[in-house]
Amino acid sequence: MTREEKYEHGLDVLRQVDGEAGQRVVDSLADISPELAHQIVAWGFGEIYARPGLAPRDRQLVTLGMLTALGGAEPQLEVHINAALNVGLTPQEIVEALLHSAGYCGFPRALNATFVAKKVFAERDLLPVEM
Amino acid sequence: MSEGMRVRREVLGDAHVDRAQARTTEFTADFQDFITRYAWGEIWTRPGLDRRTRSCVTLTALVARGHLDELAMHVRAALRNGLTVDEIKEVLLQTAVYCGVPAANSAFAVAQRVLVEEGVVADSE
Repeated sequence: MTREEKYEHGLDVLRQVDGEAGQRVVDSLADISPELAHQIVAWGFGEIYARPGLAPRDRQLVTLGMLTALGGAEPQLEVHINAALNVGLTPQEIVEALLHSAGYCGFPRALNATFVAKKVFAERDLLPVEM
Repeated sequence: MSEGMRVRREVLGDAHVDRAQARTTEFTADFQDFITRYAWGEIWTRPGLDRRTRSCVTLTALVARGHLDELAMHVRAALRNGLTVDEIKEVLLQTAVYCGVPAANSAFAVAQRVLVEEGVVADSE
């Protein structure tokens, strides 16, 4: 696969997973670091996300766990909480995953992640979350 | 040999890469292939920074995230890429300010061990 084909393939996967939010991130890099956009699309999505070994919902769950644990990745959490909803996870499941993470990475990071989820849910009219 | 493998071997040394390849299993093969093509083939091969500079950046990123095993490997790589012992020391000192003194302390312990093994730093009495 050529460099361009690899990018196009990744872009297809990105659109399926992240929808418009992913495209916005790519577009916003155009005048500063198109190469970073290329690597995210071609490698992150074209290679890793494109693999068949995990269902899209499972990939989003592990991504939510990692972004929560990393800390400081709240903008990326916003993209991936939207993506999680796009691939069929429910608000309840997302909230539960973030709650589960609290035991492993501490309450502060679980709180930060949960407030990002609250922002996304509010935008998509999914509040209140009935557990 | 792919470009990524060539650069990986130049930076990490044949001995390390041969060991990594010998340890590769069916379970880890896709990952080994991915890092060779991505980290080595796509990033380390780029012309925008020389290898010495890439080593500086790599060392700080590894200290920031506490990846001490990888740090040991990249201290060796830094020597290979032309960083001096004093420059490695300065990079690690700089991390104390941004990553915290405990992170830098752990990094110095790892680097000390590696640099002694490489025969470029004296061991404590």
